[in-house]
Amino acid sequence: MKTFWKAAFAIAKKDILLELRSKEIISSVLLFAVLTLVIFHFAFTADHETMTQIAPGMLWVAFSFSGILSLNRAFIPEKEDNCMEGLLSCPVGREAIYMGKCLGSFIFMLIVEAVVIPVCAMLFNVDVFNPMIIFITLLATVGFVSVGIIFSALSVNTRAREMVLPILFLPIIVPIIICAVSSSSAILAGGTFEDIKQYFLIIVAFDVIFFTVPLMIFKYVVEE
Amino acid sequence: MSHVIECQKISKRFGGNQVLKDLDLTVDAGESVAILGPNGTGKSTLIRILASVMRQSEGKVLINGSEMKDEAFALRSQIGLLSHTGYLYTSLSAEENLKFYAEMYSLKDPEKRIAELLEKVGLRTRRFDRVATFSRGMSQRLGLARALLHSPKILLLDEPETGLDQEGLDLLWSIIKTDDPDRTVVFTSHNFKSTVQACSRLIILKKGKIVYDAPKGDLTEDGLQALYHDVTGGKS
Repeated sequence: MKTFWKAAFAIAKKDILLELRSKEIISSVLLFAVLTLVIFHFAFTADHETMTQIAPGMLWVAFSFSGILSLNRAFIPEKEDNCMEGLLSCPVGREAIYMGKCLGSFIFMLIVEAVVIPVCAMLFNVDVFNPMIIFITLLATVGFVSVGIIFSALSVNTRAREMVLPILFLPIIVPIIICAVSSSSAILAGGTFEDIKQYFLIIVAFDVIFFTVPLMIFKYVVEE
Repeated sequence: MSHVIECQKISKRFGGNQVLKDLDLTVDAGESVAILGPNGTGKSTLIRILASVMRQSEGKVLINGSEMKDEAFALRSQIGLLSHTGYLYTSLSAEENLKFYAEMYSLKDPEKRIAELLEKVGLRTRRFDRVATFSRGMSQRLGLARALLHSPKILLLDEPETGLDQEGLDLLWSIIKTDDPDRTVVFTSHNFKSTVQACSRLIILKKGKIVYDAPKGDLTEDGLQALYHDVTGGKS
């Protein structure tokens, strides 16, 4: 187990170091996410109550599409430098590689969220800093990344990977986005945990299922 | 006593295309085995299966008597793999690449081993430079350092000479020989000169089957070329 986590952290650390060098993902993803919110800001001139209802949706549009941009690049260093075989020849389980890639992408998503949430609060004047909203966002991000990484590994060797990933990924991830948006709207409208419990349970179930299944099938995706 | 490498009736299919067919192969400790054959004959596939980065469709692979599919984790730590690319991240420096792989191999004293290998492959002064700035020969030497990082007992090389001039090639082989003269080496090649210099045993594959397997003996480069053309019925 120690080797598993050591390898997973080494892969995540390496991905972050590569990103710090190239700044390919984070700069484009952040710009895209902020621009999305800015466009929504000019598109909708609604009162505070309406904004409270639609802000979580706008927030998750920004997260989802910028997240897909980020996930599309998750295996590009391995593809471009032909390093996947190098990773596979190491004495670690394929699960550790999956976990490392998830950790790296999760950290990228957290950085995006840390920038986009304050921008959303500023532009739409809604209190998205609510701890329950932050917690739901984090939980939903876990599911988002764990499903995204397996589809990213599947699509990286296809010619039209920029199209293949969203086509495969978005239908699967829709339930978690709907739950995250609905629960955040309910919280902003003054709801309690009881009001969002059903959404919360769906997100947790989704996280458990869609983290466990990819963990088990990742070896078949990368070895064949 | 068990062989270091033992393949029992391994086959590999990609869809309807059968690349390896019921291949039996044993390699003993300290042997340096060259695998030759025309393009598409299954040389790289065999190396990948031996390195456990790819699964065979049928058959068994045993490393030191243990079956690969049962003990892949432990067995991978005994194997070093180098192909025509060094499996290096071009945006990272030489040292960062080796440190990353040292973590993946859970090396006990990585700093010492990395310094030793960088010295050995002649890249100590370039250790902080990004791999993207390296020449083909330097990248391949660093790739070799990566493959030797965990002092593997078995070294698998898949056409390591691609893009290297004779000087680079000689340097590559001298590093392999001096790092551990008793290491078992299996390599694929299209270069008759380096094959004759480096191998102790010769295997020729054709259409996924071994069609020639014998000790090199006193075979010369010209002799190997003639033998190869005779066995494969064509030019390399």
